[in-house]
Amino acid sequence: MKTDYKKLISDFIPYIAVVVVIVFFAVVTDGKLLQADNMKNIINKIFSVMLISLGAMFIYAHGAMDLTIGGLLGNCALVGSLIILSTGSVLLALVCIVALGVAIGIINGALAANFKDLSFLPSLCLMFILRGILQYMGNKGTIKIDASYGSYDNVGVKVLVIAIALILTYYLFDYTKLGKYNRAIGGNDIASGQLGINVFKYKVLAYTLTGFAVSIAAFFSMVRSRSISAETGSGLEFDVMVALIFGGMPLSGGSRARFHCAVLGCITATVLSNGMTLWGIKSETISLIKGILFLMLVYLSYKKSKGVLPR
Amino acid sequence: MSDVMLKIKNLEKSYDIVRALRGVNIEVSKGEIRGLIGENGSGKSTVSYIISGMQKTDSGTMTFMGEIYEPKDAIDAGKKGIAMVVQEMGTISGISVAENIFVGKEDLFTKCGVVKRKKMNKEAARILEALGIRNINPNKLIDAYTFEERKLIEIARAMYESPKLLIIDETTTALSHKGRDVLYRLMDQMAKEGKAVLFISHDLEELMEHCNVLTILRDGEIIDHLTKEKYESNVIKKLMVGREIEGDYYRADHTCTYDEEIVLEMKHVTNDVVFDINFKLHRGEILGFSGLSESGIHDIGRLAFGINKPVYGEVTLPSKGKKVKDSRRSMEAGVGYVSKNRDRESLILEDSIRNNIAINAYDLLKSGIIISPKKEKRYVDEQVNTLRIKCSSSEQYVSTLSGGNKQKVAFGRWIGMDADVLILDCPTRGVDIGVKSAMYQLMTKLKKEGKSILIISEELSEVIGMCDRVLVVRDGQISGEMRRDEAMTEQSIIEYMI
Repeated sequence: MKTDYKKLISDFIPYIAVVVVIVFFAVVTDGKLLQADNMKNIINKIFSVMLISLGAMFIYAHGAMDLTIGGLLGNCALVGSLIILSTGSVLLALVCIVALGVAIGIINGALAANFKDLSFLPSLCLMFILRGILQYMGNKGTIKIDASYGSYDNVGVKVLVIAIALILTYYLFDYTKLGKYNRAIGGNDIASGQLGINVFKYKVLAYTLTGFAVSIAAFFSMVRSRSISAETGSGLEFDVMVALIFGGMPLSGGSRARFHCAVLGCITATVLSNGMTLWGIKSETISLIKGILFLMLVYLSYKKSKGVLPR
Repeated sequence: MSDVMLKIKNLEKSYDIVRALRGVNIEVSKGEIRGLIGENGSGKSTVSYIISGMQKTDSGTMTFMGEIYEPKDAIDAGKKGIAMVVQEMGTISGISVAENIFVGKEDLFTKCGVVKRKKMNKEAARILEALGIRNINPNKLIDAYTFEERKLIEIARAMYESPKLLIIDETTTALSHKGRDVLYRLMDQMAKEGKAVLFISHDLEELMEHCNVLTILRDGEIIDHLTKEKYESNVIKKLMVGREIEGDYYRADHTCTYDEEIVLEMKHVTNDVVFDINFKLHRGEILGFSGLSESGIHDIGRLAFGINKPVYGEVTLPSKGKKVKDSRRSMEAGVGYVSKNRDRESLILEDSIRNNIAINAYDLLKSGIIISPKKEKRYVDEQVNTLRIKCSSSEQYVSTLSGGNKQKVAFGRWIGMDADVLILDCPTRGVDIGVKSAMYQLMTKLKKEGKSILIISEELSEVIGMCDRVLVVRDGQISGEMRRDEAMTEQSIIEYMI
């Protein structure tokens, strides 16, 4: 039963990583990490990444990735801000943000599902388009909304939103066709198709859910920063990717894609960056360290999944 | 003929936990035609693969022409004087006949990096001529030739280096009488020249007629070597199986029975592989499709389930009043399909037995949109128990199961769904005898329950043993039909096949 040990260890690595990262940085920063101010900071940072990761894990479960996340968040926030500026209605802004997120999610999903193994290509193209729009608008000058809207940026509300998202996606991922089919597609898409799974539909649904999650994150991002520039949301797709892989998400998807990958990975990744900043490491060095760690994890994840890829 | 050419001592080989060979000893003399016979999985092919350098032995030694023989690969074996014609298709499509014959040896015809085609074609023509094969043009694409002709081309390729030992693995099933004569002539000629042939076949008659010595293998062990004067087919059969052949391995009855009701029908179905396929599958019928692997039989299964779509013609489920459109709708209409390519198309290897069996049954197991883990477990355990899948728990990964148990998992999904029509593509491929007989019993039981089964198989004994009717396919067209109550024999099916 040698393999079972291996499985057990690889299952627990993400948990161990969370504990190690928290304890290590709590010690080296003399407890600064766990102080109320910083906790609030961490929660704000985790919020977007975790909310989106909970959606994106369905995409990663079927063995694809989504590169539009940052661009979409920026565009959602842009549309929301423009609506607030012209009508002043927060509700209308929220509705439009969600509508845009879901719509782009569906388009992205339909394109990606058509490209099968090269699903990241249309995602990449869409990313350029979305970033292009932001740059075009950003070049006209930063768009700002009134500081009073900052009252919507409430940590309590955010915690509530995350709690609901956790419960909802937990059930969706482990106890409904959406999660089970997406993992089955990651495990063997040919078999899934032959067993009557509508592969296209479930892939598109995964992207749609992600689009929805991005739109909610975009709303809170908008009321928090209250200014939209060409750089809004930049690199967020990679933060999500790093978080999921830190959590042990296999790039090939399949049965080893677990709910805890999204949850634990976000905590590890966020505490790691936050902890290094608190420790006084320069931001360019942080980037370097993150890059090396990421490379190691991708390598390990790839090695692990080699047997999983029969093609 | 005491001149020993090849001496094999204590050959051992295991695949994971399966011991394919146990202490195999064989001596082949110069001028000998050695027959190798045994059931599927007895180790005949493994022996030939090891001799021809395509696989490595775990332990044991080989001596060839008085020297220690340890081939690195098939090319190395060829240089030392051992060539092999394999069971499966061994030609490369999309290139010419001559290029196929000289694949890997292009250097012989290369000048300044340019392959001299004319010279190559001429040489190829000479080899074919020497074998008495006249109607093959070396310059043409290999795809222009039939399966049989391609086999002959493979033989020509094997003969080019004038090997001292030629291994022929189950090639004759693909050959007609004419092709077989070419091969037999070649074998006799080699024996006369003091070379040797290792001949593997399922056809006992053929082996008894052409071999000087027969070696019988069972479960990876040598049972006996018989010289020509001791040949007797009953004795050999008994030695092969190790017991008197039981009556109930296949279906016991010899009558063709089914209801009038038609559950699946193909009308003029045509695509790029098959042409004008017409048949009716009835309630309670086991219908077999037999033919060579490239004949299109596997496509018929895929068309019947809706994985592939016909260019012309239609597939219907008359009893349900539905058309076959895609696999999802077929499944909903009570049709099940088990692919030939189990690991690639049928199972999610890196996933649990539970997820693999329940995957197409979630609609039965959910309340609202939530799939109940309790119901799921009960459902899966039921299939594991009825099919007696050997596993530690339903959480075990499918990749760790044996071939037979993997196939049971693929079966379990459809048994659980209570499918009315089962399309089984090579259902017992790579499955051991115990599981095979369990599968056959299950099929008989399903037939009695009024389910219909479409078996697509290259194994003739299986279709003869199980089917009410057998349709034989050749080059994408149905070339013959046989009923259970008429005398179905392997020979009569082969006549239609090639």
